[in-house]
Amino acid sequence: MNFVKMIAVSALAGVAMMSSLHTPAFAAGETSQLTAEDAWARSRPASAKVGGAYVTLINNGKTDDRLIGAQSPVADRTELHTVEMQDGMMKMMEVKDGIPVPAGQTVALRPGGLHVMFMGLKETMEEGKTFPLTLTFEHAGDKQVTVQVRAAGAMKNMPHGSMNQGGSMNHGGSLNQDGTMGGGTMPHMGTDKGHMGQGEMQKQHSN
Amino acid sequence: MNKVFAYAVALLVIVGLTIAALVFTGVLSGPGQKSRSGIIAGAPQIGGPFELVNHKGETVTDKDFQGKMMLVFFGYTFCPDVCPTEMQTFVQTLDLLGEDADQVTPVFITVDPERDSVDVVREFVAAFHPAIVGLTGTPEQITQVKKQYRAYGQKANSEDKEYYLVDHTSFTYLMGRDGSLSTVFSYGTTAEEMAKVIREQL
Ligand SMILES: [Cu+2]
Repeated sequence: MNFVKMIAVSALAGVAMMSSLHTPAFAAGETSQLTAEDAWARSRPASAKVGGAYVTLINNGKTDDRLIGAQSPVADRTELHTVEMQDGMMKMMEVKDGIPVPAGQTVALRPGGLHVMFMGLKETMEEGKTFPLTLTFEHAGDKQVTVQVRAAGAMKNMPHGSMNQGGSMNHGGSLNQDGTMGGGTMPHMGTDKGHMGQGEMQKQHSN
Repeated sequence: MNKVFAYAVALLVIVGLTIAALVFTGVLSGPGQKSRSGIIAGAPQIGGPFELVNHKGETVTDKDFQGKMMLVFFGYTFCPDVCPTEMQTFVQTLDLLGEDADQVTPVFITVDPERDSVDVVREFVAAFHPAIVGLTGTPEQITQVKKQYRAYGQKANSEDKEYYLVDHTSFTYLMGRDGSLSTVFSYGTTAEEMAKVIREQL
């Protein structure tokens, strides 16, 4: 396993070098083109030491961006996580190189994949509560959002369906109308659902 | 010159990542792999005797669950994403079954007995549905039940004593009234599908 770790570390270093070379000159006006909307979390029992939150990131700018960190007063530690499925095994892990938010696209963090992970909760995440969350982007800098705490088993990013989704719920087929995850019993599973995070990236209507 | 160097590094990185991916899949192809191909109807090797502690602190065995079907999911309460999602699918399945819901016992078995005490498990299941039974036990008891169900649960980063993550089996098992395996559902199976399969066996 150390071998794997070593490669991963050197890979990250390499990727960092690459991206630093390709960082385009950044236009000042563009910072406002990135928005974070509908931040929410599932309520957690009083004894819970960890929790997760979801948020929709919209990049209306012309520059690719990346969510590189998060912070909140409710937890000792806040990390960016994803969930991957390998051979029927569920693996939750930190995304150390951040979550890309390409220009013109919307990236939804939602159950079964990308999430903001809180470790060492200092307050109970109780249904109905709200709490602040600061998201740090590579280019857009810090964005503060208010996280709404919903039911323990809440599934949807947008409960009222009032926002223009542009049919994006159909992409990747991971969410059904009732908010449950798509799929079937195994014989019907023709497609490889290896990545639970698939379908999170959706093209936005150009404006 | 720097650019050339960077591209060379990038190339090496890609090669490295590919090797890493290969090693990863090789190392981590756990016991779950065999059951990927489909519903394993009545396979005798899954299920069997266990002794655990329920969320009320009572010692229970597989015998206590017989007479009803059992819907079993292995997870851990420190998991804020996938495990609540599966519990929500259980709740929806029970809702869809309506009056027939009492023919099936939904069961959450922790793969993290060190942190998931009786109290922690009780609070976790109570947040979803009063019918859900949460089970924990000694590490030995959990190892035993995992073996019976060919379920997997392994700390991913055990060096983090407080907030380690646990990789775990994502399947949900439907057990018949006699305790033998009926159906294995892959993660992502809808409540409608589960309710349908359960109804066929009422
Ligand atoms: Cu997480």
